[in-house]
Amino acid sequence: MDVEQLLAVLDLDVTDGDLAGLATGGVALTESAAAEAEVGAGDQIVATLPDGEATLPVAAVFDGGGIDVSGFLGARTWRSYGGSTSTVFNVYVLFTEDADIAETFGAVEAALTPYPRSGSSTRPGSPRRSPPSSTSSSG
Amino acid sequence: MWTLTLKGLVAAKARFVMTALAVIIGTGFVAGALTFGDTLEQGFDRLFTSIVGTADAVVRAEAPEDGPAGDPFTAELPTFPPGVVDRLVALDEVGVAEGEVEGVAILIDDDGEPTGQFGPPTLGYSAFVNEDLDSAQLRAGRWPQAAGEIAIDAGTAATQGWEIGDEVGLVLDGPVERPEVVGTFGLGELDNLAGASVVVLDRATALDRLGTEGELTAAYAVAADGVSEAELLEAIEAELGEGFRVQSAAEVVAEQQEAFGPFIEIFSIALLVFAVIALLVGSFLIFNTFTIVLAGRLRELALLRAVGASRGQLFGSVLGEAALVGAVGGALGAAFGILVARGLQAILGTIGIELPGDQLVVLPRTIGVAVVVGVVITVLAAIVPARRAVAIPPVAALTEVAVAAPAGRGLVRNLLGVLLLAGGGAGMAATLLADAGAVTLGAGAVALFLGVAALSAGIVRPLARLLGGPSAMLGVSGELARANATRNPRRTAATASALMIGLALVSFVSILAASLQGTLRTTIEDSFLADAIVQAGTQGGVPDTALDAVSAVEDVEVVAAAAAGQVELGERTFASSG
Repeated sequence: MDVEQLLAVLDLDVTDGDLAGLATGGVALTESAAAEAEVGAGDQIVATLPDGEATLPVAAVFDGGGIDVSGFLGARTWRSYGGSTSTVFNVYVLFTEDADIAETFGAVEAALTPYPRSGSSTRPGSPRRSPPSSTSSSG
Repeated sequence: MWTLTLKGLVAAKARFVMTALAVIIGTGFVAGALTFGDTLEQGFDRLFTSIVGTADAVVRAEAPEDGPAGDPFTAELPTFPPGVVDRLVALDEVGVAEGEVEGVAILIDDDGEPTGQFGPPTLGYSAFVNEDLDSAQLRAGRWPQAAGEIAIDAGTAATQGWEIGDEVGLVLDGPVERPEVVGTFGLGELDNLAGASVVVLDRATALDRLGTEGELTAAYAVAADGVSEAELLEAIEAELGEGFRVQSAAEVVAEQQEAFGPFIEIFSIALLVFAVIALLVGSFLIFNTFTIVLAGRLRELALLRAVGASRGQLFGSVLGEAALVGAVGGALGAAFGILVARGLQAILGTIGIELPGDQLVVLPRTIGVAVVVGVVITVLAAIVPARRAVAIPPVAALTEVAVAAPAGRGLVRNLLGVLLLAGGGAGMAATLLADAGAVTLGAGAVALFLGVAALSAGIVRPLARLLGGPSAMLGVSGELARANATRNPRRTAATASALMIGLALVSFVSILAASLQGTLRTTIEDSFLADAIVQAGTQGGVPDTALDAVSAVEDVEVVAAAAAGQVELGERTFASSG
């Protein structure tokens, strides 16, 4: 996903730096990943990407609790270093402001019916609207 | 003195049975962990050898030199054109050669759910033309020959109740389709590998639909008559040049064994953690048993001192009893460990994980370790009661008066308890606040337990008086119970310590689970703006056509797809999303 999409679907708690730097080839790391690598925003890190080593600036450090990755690269950066985008593991779906959450969620599930290897689940506890009564997978 | 040791054991055999039971359970988990690990290791050895089959050489395309070693997220293998196999066949040193396509193929059960969701791999392969090179053996039916036909592993067929001729759900590179099952197969002794579902497609379909864009992921070659393995490898390397990995069968087996090492380790470590906890709890039980037994034999020990036995002789006799109990318990624990390993296999089998290694591998080392651990734990737990007992003066044989513990011992114990409590607390705090590591956390927890156990004798008497109040009001039995609990605070404290560890562990797990759940829920609620998250149910990822289908839904504003891969930073490898 590109940076605009990332900012639209995730509200990351940035503790150092700015996620906007992802658009210019930076990397955003979780706090624990940054601590392990002993880097902070503005530092350069040497990363081994699919196509080889690259020196990348750390654009931001964020609280990674609840996020199941150690960091983000912009889609363009990822692709430019040989990263594959053919295998998508997480898809974050944002509905329009006036969408009926339950109805739209049901439509998403229905659209995924022919693809049983992709499960869908609601974002729990939306502050602006109520999710459907139960979390479910497309069948 | 040995006669005395044996008599001592026989005299209190009922109590020592309980001690041995504690040793059996603890050492049983140790032996079970070792047996299970050895069985898996040997089973995987046989499996990998059978997978490589009769091939003398295996050819794969080289991954980028300075790229990450592997990418478990994308599960993409480097590929090469089918023409490479023609070059191999043309070599004089090659007898037979054939290419293979490997990718992701997901079987869909009759309820419409993927088999192996979030679990073991869902693999797809091309069928072999030269069956001699095929490591899989047909169990029923035939290999697929055209689109719309598949063969599946016999384990998955049995689990799903599918038979030859059934049309089953399958996802390759798009929506679900329903090919016909024309054959079932196994790998050596196994009908299934660790729960993985394996689908074999006809060659043309595999090349077209397994995501390799018409290329191969591996080639297998058998040496021509009279050609050695080394000559074959040399000839293939010379023909293909750079960009390929040419390995002997033994090298492939060794590489796969290395890759599965951490998998085996996880099971062994989990069992060893159980073993340590069981041994810790057991050591309190052993300590208590020896304390009680020796308290009942004080006059006998004093009499022996009166007739000339030295303290050293008595000490050795008591520790001899402990060593014998530990050795017998350890030996029985080794036998119990076989049941533990077999039980673990059965549990994994019921959840669909069939692991290689039908016959359990019980090495002499396993029995030796169980016996040694049993002896060491029992002797260590018996040292304090033994020292206390042999301190009995000979004159005690002539009196009915109980011998009090030497003055000052309580002070030492309390001091030790405070030190352990402080050290344990510091260890746990260092882990929680400064990420000092699991070993520090474990050592801190054990020190904390021992510290509380050492200090608990001091609070047992007032506590038992208070808590025993209601039972004392019920009559003589209640009064006696309270009196017994308060008469020997150290004994009561030691008994309670075993229970304390059990309850503490249950509380720890409950609190940890609740805390993690609560923290995670809060963080997810705070972090996600998306209204729905679509996650890949298997390692095949979410197909593009599914993304298009979601994008087309009315009122869907943003569909942000994250591809996952690995990024190496220094010595660490991070999962990263792009």
